[in-house]
Amino acid sequence: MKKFDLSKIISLDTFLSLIFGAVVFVFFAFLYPFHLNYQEQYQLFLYTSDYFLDFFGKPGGIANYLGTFVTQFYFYSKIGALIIAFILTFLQRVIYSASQKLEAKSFWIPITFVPSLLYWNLFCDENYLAGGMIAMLLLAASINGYIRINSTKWRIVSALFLIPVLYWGIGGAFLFFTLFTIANELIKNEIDKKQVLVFSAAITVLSLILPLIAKAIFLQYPMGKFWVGVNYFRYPVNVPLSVGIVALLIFFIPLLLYFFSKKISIPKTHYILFVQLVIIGVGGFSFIRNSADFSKEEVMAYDFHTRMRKWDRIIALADKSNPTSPLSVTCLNLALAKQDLLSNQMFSYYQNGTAGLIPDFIRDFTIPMMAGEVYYHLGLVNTAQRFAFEAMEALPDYQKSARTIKRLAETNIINGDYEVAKKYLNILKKTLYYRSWAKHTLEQIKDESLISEHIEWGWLRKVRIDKDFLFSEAEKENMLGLLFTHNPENQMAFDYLMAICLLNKDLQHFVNFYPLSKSLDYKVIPKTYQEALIYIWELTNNDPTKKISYPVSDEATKRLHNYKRIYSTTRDAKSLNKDFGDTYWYYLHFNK
Amino acid sequence: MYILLNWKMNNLKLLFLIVLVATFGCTTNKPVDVTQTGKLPKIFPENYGTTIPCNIAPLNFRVEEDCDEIYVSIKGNNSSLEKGFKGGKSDWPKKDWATFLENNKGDSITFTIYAFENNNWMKYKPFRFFVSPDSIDEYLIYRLISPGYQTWNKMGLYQRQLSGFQEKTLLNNTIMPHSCMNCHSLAANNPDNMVFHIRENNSGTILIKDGVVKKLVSKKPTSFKSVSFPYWHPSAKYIAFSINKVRQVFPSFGTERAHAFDMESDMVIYDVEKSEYFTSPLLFAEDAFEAFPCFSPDGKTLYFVTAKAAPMPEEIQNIKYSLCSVSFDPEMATIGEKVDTLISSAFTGKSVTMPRISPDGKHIIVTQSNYGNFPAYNEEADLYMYNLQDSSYVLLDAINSNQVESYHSWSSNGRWLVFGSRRMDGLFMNAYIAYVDENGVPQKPFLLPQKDADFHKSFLFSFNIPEFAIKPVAVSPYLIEKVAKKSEDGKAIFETTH
Repeated sequence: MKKFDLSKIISLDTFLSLIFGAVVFVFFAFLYPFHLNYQEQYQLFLYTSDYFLDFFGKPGGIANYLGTFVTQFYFYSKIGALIIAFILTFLQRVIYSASQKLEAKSFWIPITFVPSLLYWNLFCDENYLAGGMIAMLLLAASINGYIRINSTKWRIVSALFLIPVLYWGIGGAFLFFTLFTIANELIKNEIDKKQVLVFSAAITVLSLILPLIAKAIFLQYPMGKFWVGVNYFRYPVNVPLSVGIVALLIFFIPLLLYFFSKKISIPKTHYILFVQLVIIGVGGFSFIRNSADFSKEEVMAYDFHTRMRKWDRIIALADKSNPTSPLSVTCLNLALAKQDLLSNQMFSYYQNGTAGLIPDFIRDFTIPMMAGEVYYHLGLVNTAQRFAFEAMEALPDYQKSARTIKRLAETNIINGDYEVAKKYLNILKKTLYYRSWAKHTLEQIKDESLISEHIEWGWLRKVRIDKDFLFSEAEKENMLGLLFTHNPENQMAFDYLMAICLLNKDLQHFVNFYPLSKSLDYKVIPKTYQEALIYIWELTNNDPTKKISYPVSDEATKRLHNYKRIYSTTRDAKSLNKDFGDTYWYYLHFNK
Repeated sequence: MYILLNWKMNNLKLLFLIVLVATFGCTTNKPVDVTQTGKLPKIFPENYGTTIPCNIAPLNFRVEEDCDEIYVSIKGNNSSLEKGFKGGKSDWPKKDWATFLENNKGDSITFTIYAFENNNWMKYKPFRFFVSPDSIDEYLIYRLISPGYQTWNKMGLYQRQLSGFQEKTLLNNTIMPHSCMNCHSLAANNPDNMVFHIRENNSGTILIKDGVVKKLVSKKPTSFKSVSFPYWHPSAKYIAFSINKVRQVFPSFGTERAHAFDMESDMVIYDVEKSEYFTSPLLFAEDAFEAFPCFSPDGKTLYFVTAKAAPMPEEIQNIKYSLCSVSFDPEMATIGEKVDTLISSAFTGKSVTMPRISPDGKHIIVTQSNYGNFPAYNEEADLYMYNLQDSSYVLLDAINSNQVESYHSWSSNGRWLVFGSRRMDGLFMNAYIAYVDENGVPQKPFLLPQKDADFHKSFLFSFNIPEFAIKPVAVSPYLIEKVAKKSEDGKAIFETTH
C-alpha cells in the first residue's frame, strides 16, 4: 500500500494557516458568536455616497469604512466568524510571505502567527472594532508589496507615493511602513549610505508633516486623533497600546526572521519548528482562554435572543445554566413573561431583585437597550423609545445603531408618528440586512389597518395610554398599575407589577394590588402568587377557623407548612434550597 | 489660512458628488410633446409663492410625482433659467442661479415643471416666487443635535453660508469629546462678539470679544455656578444672562416626548469690560422666575419673560410667563426700578418665551404656548408678534404650522426672520426663513435650502438656535478648545438645556 504523503497535497505552511483559520472560525462561530451580534447592532453601515465620504474625509477613514463594512455581516455570526478567520489568516499569510521574500527560513513560520493571535485576543473584547484589524492587514500588505518591487528607483518612488496614501487609509499605523522602508533599504544595501540617509530623512519628514497638513485642512479632530486615525477601540479617547504592539510586530517580524535566518545557523530545524508550534499553540490557547469573557458572552446571548424575540431559546439557555447577571435575568424574566410563565416559574430561576426585572436607567449604550426591550413589550412605548434613543446616543464612537434605528421606527409607528418613522425606515432602506424589512414596513404604514391589526404593534398601540404620566424610576409600580388598569388584558403589566412587589419583598403592596387580577379571571392562581398569598395569610391571620379567601391549592399550603417546619428549626439555606429553591418563600428569606 | 484650506477640502469632498451629478444627473433637451396636467406639481420642499432673498442658495426641490426625470424652466422679466435633471430632483448650478436671482431681484419669477412620467412629458401648472431686493445675511450659525431626549454622541456648532451650501464646523464634540455646546449669541449679528456655553467636560461660558477668545470669568464671587440664554447689549459692553436650573422630564404615557422647565430662574448682566456680574431685585426675585433677556436696539430697555415661582414639576402645566421690560442705563450700568408688563399671561391665559426684537425696535416676536418657557414639544407653540408702537399682539398666521414653532431671530436688516419648526415630521427641528416687511407683516417661509433635495429624508439632526451672522466666525475651533480646556474657571453643573 502506498504511503499517504500530505506534503504532496498541501505545504506545511498552508496547512498550518488553514488550521489556524479553522480554529478562529470555530471559536467565533460556536464559542463566541454573540460578541459578533453585539458588535453589529452598534453600527449602521449605509450604502450611500454620503456615508462613504464621511469616512473618506478623515485619515484612517478607509480602514474604518472597511471595518464597518465587514461588521455589518456579523448580523449572521457564522459569516462574521468566517470573515474574521479569513482576515486573521490572511494577515498571517501576508507576514509570512513578506518574511519569505526577505529570505527567512520557512521553519520560523509559527512566529508569523503572533500578530494574528494578538488581534484575535483583542477581538475577545467587544469594544475593539474591525477597522483596526483591517488597518493592520493593509499595513502588512503594503510592507509585503513594497519589498516585492525589485527596482530600487521604483521602490523609492512607491514609498513616497504609498506613505501619504497609507496615512489616509490607515491613519497613524502608516509610520510602521515608513520605518520598514528605511530598514529595508539598509538591509538591501543597494544604494549607498548617503542615499539611504537622504531617503530616510525625506520620508521621515514627509511622515511627520502629514498629520500636521491633515489637521490644517480638516477641522474635526484634536491632534491626537490625526496621529491615530483609525477607530481601533469604541472609546476614541482611549488609544490602545496593544494595537501599537501588533503594528510593531507586523513591522518587526519579517526583519527579525530575516536576521535569524541570516545570522543564526540551526541544524535541527524540525526540532525548532516543533518547539515554536508548542509554544504558540499552548501559549495561544491559554492566552485566548484568558482573554475570552464567557460571562459577557452569556449576557450577549440573552440580549440577542431578546432582540430576535426568541423567547423559547432564552428559557432553554436558562434551563441549561441558571443566569446570575442582572441583565441576563432581565432577559429571562421578559422571556418568561412573554411566554406567560413569569407568574408560575420566576422563582424556579435565580432572581436578583428588581435590577433583574427592569434595570434602572444609566447613561450607557447597553443597559438602556435591554431595559428598553422590557418597556417596549410591556406597552410603555414612550419609555422604550427614549431608552433606545439614549442607548444609541451614548455610543462613544459617534456611530448610529441599526437595532436602535429599527426600534425607533417601530415605536414611532405604534405612536402614529409616521413621518418620523419614515425617516428611520428610509435610513434602514440603505442597509443590507434591514432593507427588505424597511421597504415592507414603508408599504405597511400606508395602510392604517395593517398597523392596527399587526400582531405586535397593534397590541402595543391598544395598551398605550394617551394621558401624560411622567416617567420615574421610583414609580415603576404606579406606571405598571396604570398600564394594567387602563387595559386589563395586559397581563404582562400585571405580572411585572406583582413581580416588583415580590422581588422588593413588599408584601403589603402585593396584597393591595393583587385584587386587580380579578379581570384576568384565573382558573388557577399562578404558583408564585399562591405562595405569596398563603404566606401572607398565615402571617396575618390569627383565627385558625378562618380560611383564606383565595382558592389556594392544598399542595401549596402543605408545602408551606413543610417549609416553615424546616425553616423554623434549621434556617439552613442549602437544605431548603433542595426542596424549596423554586418558591417565593426561599427568595424571601434567603435572597440578600 | 485654515479657512482657505477648509474651503478647498470641502469642495474636494463635494467633487465626487459633482462628478456624479455632472455625469449622470442632467438632461439637456426641453420637452416638446407635452401633456398639460392642469395642476400644481407636488414638490418638496413645498415653497410655492414664497418670497426669497436675492442672494439665497439654489432652492432645490424634489418632484414627488412618479417621474424619472424633470425639466424645469424659471422665467423672470429680465432672464430665464432652464435645465433638465434626472431622478426628479433639481440641482441648480450655484453660479447660474445667483446670476438669475440678481437679474430678477425685486420681481416675480415663474417656475414651470415638466415631469417624465410613464414615457410621457407632463407639464404642471406654473407657480411663482418673489425675489426680494433685500438681501439676507451671508451666514447662519446653528447647533446640530439629535433631537429627542438627554444624551447625544455628536453635536456641534456650525456655520452655513446662505448663498451656497458650504457648512463649516465652529466646534463639535469630536474636537471636544463629551462636551455639550449650546446657546450661542452674537452681538448685532456680528460674530466678532459672540458667546456660547460648554457643558459637562471643560464646562464654562466662552466669550469671543473682538476676535479674542476667553472663558468667561467674574472678578467678584457669584452665588451661581453657570449662566445661560445670553443676549448682547448693542454696545457689546454687556451681556444679559438667565441663571437657570433647567430640568427635563419624560412622559411614560401620552403624546408628548418631553417637558423642560425651570426649577429656578433669575437674571444677571455681565459687564464685559469690568468682568463683573450685576443684577437687580427685579431680575432676581425669589418669588418669580425671570428668563430669556433681550435688549432693545437702542440699548435702553431690557425685555424678558417672567412668571410667579411655583413648585416644579408639579405645577408644570400651570406656569405661564409674561413678557415684561425694565429700563437700562448703559452709561451707568444701572437697571431701572419699575417693571412694565407688555403681554400678560393673566390676560392671554398663555405663556410667552424667547422675546426677540426687530433691529428697528418696532416689533418683538415671541413663542406662545399653553405653559412653560421651553416649548420644545408643545405642538401648540406658535410665533406671535407684539407691536411696540401700538401694543397690538397678533398670531403670525403666515409662518406658523400645527407643529412646534420655537427659536427665532432676526437678520441684521430686519427683513428676514429665521425660526425653528418641527412641522416636517413633529420631531426634527428645521430652520425656516421668512420675509418680514417694514410693517412687520411676514410672508410664507421657505426651508433652509440644501444641495440635495432628499437631505431631510435621512438627516438625523435638528437645527437648533439658528442665528444670522453678517460674516464668518474668524476663530479656529482649536483655539476655542485650547481656551476651554486650559481655564480652571467654569465648573458649571450639567443642565439638560438641549
